[in-house]
Amino acid sequence: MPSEPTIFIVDDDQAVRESLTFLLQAEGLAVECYASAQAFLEGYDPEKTGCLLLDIHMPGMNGREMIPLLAALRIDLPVIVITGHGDGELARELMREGIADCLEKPFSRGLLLETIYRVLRQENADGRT
Amino acid sequence: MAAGEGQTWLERGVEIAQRRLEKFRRQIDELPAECRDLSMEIAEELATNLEELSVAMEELSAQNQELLISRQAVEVERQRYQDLFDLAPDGYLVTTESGQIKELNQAAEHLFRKRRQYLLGKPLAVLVAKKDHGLFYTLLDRLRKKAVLPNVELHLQINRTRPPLLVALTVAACRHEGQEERNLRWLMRDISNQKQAQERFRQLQAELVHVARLSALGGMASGLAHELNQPLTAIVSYTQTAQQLLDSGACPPEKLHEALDQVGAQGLRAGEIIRRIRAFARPNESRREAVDINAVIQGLMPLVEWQAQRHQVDIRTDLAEGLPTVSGDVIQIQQVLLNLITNACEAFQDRTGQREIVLRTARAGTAKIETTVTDNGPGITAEIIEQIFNPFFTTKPKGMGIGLDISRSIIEAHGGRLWVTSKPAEGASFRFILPVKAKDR
Repeated sequence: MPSEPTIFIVDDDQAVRESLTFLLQAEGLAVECYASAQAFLEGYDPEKTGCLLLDIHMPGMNGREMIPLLAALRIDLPVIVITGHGDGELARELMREGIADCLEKPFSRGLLLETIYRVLRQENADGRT
Repeated sequence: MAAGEGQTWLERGVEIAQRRLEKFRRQIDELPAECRDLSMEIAEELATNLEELSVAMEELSAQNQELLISRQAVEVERQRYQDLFDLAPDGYLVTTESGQIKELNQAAEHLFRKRRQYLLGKPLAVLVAKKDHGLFYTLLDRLRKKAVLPNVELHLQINRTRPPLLVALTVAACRHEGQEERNLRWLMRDISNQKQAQERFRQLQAELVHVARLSALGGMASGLAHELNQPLTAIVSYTQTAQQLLDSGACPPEKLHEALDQVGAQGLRAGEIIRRIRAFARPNESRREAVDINAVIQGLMPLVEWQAQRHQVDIRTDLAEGLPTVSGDVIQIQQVLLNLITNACEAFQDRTGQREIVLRTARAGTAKIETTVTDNGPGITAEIIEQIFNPFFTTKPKGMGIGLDISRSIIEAHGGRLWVTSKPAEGASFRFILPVKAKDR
């Protein structure tokens, strides 16, 4: 039974986490924040569905390193990469590595929500439980 | 008989006397017997004397010739020395002990822009700029005891319209044989161009240091842009959400306040990042203030975090507590640290394994603080260590090679020392010491 989706935010910058939380909660979405890839991998509740907003440049394990680990740990969340590094090349590579989408900071509220809803719809359409 | 060429009147006289003697000798036979013997003796003596006189005169003539040649040689030498003196590239003067001008050469005329005739006999003090009169008289005084005063810088005032001219002079006291008083010999060179060139060099050096900073900043551009994107992301999210809340009508004021507070705070955060960039990019006249090295290192962390992440390097700090301050220029010290850290990050290249840089500060004796940037990269060979601080030496394909040269100049200008210790395969440590600010010791 599909539960309410949770948006997981993994970004080392506090202001980014807090502002996106503010934005998504105003939309009525459930939000969970992690300051590092490590913290997310340790704290993620496998019962929950939704999607992942993932930053790339973080100290310790960076976002890119975490992507294959998600597969290895059977974490099925679709990944939306949010990056402050405007690299089209990076975006293309990441898409090839199987992420759902890539947004460049700063992005408008409208674009973020549109992307999240699209990705969630895609998930449901793919029939995941 | 007329006098031959080169004959003096004396030689002519001797010649005539010899002829008259001949004539007398021929007439001796007609003399009475009592006179004949005596006359012959006298005639013989006279002949001998005349002969000797003739020989003496030849010798005298030869000596005169030699004397003439000597004199000519002396004159040639004298002229040669006069020319050396006169045409020397630097100004030469000879004055009395009290500074009255006795002789000067062409270069001195040129230097003073006055003809010799106008200057001879005048006191040299007349040409010295007012502000250096004291110095001039002190020189004269000291020359009474010391024989030579080398490399003194003095300002001349040639005329009222021109600005003072800076000359470097060497002056020596000497006494000639047979003279009561001593003379002073002055050597003067116009160094105003040289001073200008030195000043220009200092300017260019400062510009180079600045350019290196800009270059470092350029390398950090991506990282800085990334830094700025964070607060911008927050600002956009908060404002657009606030607008949405207002539009929806269901907008509790405290939510709006929260959003707007954050927008302000993030705007200031972005402003602070920009302020830091600006401060670093500014050309700066070296300042000396009390600098807390640990604070500088910590302030640098945001700037280097991004670089460290890009190279996947962990940066650790090991900062001693309670360190005294050093007297220095914050921006320039930051520049050095940034240079060392950037180099360390780039040193790893394709090395695998845990990449680590450690920033350490510690006291080195009572009066110095040592800062170390250590990496566990491939290390540096002895050959490269020898050259690594040379300008334009680089091991990087796109490197300019001036970073370490400038870093060393900066540290040395602070009265410190920058060096590296490394063994291949054992990483490298760049260390610099800075003297503690005097009051703080």
